[in-house]
Amino acid sequence: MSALISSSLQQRSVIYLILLSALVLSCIWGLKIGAIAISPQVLANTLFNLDGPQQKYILLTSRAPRIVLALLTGGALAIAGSLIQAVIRNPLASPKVVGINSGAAFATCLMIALFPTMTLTNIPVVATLGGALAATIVLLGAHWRGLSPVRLALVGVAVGMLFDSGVDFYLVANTSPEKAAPMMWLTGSLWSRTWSHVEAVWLPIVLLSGLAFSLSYQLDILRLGDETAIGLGQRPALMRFIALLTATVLASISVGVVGVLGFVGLMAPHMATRLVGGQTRHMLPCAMLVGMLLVVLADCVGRALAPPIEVSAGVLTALFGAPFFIVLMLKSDRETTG
Amino acid sequence: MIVKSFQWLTLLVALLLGAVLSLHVGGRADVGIADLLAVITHWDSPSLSQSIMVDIRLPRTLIAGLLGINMGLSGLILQAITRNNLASPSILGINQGAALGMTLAIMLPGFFPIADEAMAVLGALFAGILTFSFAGGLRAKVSPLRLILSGVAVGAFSFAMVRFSFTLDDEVSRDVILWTTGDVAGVRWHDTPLLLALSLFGIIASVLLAHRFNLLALGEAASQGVGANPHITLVLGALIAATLTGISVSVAGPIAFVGLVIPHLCRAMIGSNHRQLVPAVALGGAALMLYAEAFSKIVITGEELPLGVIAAIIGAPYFVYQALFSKEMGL
Amino acid sequence: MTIRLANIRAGYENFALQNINLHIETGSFTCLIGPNGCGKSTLLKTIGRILKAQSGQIEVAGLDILASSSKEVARKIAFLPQNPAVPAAITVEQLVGYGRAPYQGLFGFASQEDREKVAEAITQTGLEALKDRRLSELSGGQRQRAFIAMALAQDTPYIMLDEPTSFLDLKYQYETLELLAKLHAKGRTCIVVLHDIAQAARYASDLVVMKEGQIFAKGKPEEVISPQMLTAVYGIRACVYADPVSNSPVVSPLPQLAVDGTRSNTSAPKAGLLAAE
Repeated sequence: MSALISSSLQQRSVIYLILLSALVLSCIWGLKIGAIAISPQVLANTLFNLDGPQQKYILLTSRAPRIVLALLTGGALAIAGSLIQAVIRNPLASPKVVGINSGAAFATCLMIALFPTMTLTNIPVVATLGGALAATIVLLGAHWRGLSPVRLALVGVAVGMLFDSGVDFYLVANTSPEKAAPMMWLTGSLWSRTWSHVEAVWLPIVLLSGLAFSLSYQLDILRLGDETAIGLGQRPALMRFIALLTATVLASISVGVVGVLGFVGLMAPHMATRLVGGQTRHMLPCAMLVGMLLVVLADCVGRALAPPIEVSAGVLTALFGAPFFIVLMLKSDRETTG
Repeated sequence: MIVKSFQWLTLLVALLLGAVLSLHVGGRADVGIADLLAVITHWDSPSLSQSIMVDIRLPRTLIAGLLGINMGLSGLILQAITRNNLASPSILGINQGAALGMTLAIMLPGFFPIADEAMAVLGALFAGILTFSFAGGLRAKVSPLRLILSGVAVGAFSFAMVRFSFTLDDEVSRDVILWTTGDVAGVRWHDTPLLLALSLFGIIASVLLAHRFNLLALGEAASQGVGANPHITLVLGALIAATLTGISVSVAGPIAFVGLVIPHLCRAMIGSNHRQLVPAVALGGAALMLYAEAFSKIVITGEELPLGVIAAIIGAPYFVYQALFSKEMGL
Repeated sequence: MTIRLANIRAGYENFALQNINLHIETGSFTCLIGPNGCGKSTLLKTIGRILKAQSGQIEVAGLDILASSSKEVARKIAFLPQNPAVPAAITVEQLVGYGRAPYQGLFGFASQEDREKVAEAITQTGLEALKDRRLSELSGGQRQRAFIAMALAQDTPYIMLDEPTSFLDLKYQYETLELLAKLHAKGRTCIVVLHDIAQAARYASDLVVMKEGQIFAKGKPEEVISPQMLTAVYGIRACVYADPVSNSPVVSPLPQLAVDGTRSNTSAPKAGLLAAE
């Protein structure tokens, strides 16, 4: 695999260029594809406001916000995954490990159970809070006991399972379609997301991503282990806390607005490491692009498979992500043992 | 060898109390343990409350206990073959794998040429193999962190697929959801024979393998050195664990934490000799599930809390506590 | 310019260093030795402030360690743990670059000086040919050298290493020790925890012997390593020779106490013997 490893500036530039063009192409595809196919001509007319037939409504109010949201959440998940992997010091870690997905789902169920009159628009807020709550339990454990990465993962798994069982109970207790329907919201789909969703999440995602980028170098030092990090003048417990907090909010927001897009947070950093090497400064932007690409593609493929039916993007990321991940894991067995 | 009579007595009493409690409580408050005694004395003319006891309560209690035995033993075996006290069906994604197998069987009835239960066992086995191979293969001693993270990944994938089935056809999704939560409310006598047989098989097989588990604890080389091929132990153990998990999941849905908590507790009480641990875990697992079963009928009137939820409510705090404070756990 | 410890109390919950007073001269190659669990690693970590002392004073080259910021400490002391985490997919040069963290801001932008120090550290450890290789592709000895280079790039008067030889093949053990000796000759103060008495005696200018959380002895190797010390600290009977190559003391265990409490009557050979009971 070392042929893939590139540290030089030119090689990295080429990789970024390829990723960016792939991203642009898949966004265009995403605008075209769906229940109503739109020809490139019409697409260009609408986007650049040229003369000729346009499809303003479908493109600008239905598809464009989806794609923007896919970019935002894909990037957010990839960055969150990278942060968590740096904290746990293991490339197998993911936002799931700190219980974010389960917490978000549980909070949504709780909201519907307690306040059945609340509308769908509240779900992102509630889910974000739930994800953050679950992660807070893990974070507090990490902070208060100065937990080692293994214990951190354990507490996260346990908390996640507890919330999952709560979700299951809700689903059993409420089998009526109206009450179960909001749960579908959380199965990782970009269906019926609008500009208002984009408006709600873009600012925090951009800000927190910026914070994550500014922490790149500190994350590298954190990955050397606590003793080395202290020896280099860092405060690893503090850094771990900041990184986890950033990751938590990023992942919670994206789960809140589009549901669980499995494996993106796990895969994107892994692929990025393979492409541009493990130094966070280079890896993080690459991971972000990969994450965006994955989610946009998953959304497109979900719409393209059998229109007008849509397959949830979350199902596709899990379905394609899992085997891909298996191959990567088996190949990189030796490298990731540490 | 020290016979820890007090500890054994505690386990037995816990089991008995659990059984009595589980039989005594239920939807109809007028049916109680007295009816069971009445059934035993006058078998010929059962009253309504006596038939509730016989037809509804007894099978539920029996099945809850058997599930406890299965989940406890399967956790114990997984911990023995991975030489890692953190292994359990749910942590390793085996529970979720079984759930996926079962979901596939429900979603595509008639598509698979085998019984639903066998699908669950297959799913469990497949998930287990995946987790182990991610974590670094079946040979070396695997680091706990890798094992957990791999289990989470496999579990997440399986569960994503199970949840996906919720979005499908209403009828199917209802079936799957109803069964996913770990519930024994609907079981009757006809559900018991297979489970009973497999639990007995599990206990006997574990007892027979107990010595090999003890040897494996010394490390593979040491185990090989005294003539017990560790790979055979591993394969046999994995098969038994997958079977026990699969069958339990197919009856009541995935029940987390029992397989993790009970071997932990028993090890603290009895020590680490598997010859004694196997019966202790069987007793303890059954006892825990009986309390969970009784609890599920007490807590909310009208809506029964499913067993899986109770097991998680009991198990998760214990586990979090251990993860935070325990000095052992191989960390 | 020395390291001075006064009345230090430190350690983990169940094991504590009690009332440690110690003086380490600048320019020395000091080895901490002692049996397993004697507190030698704990002491090293306490001096390097990886572990915070509960009470007492530590002064390193005039800097009160316990009252200083982590970065200030990191500009005085470079610390290498026994088994450092190896991040996936980073190159040797990138790793060595992290040694400049104490001099850099939050974002880790490298100055001209940073780049020079990194290049110098790579040259000194002979890693020029390997600098673009990934850590995961290196042998254990090469990796250890890369971490030492990182400590060098930190450009501190003091370098501390916790059992730097413990996971290495014999060849790389000596390669590492020779490298440290070379750095010492160029003026760095090395403070190293070692397991092997012979290696410590051969490379150290000063030895600190620890037993049960206390300092048992401190001095030149030939003053400290004696049959009495070996019996008192390690619980073995041994005689001590002068090594024919380096003239440093070498320990040769005698047959130990027989089961019935009588001593076997094997007598120690005379040639080169420094001391026996």
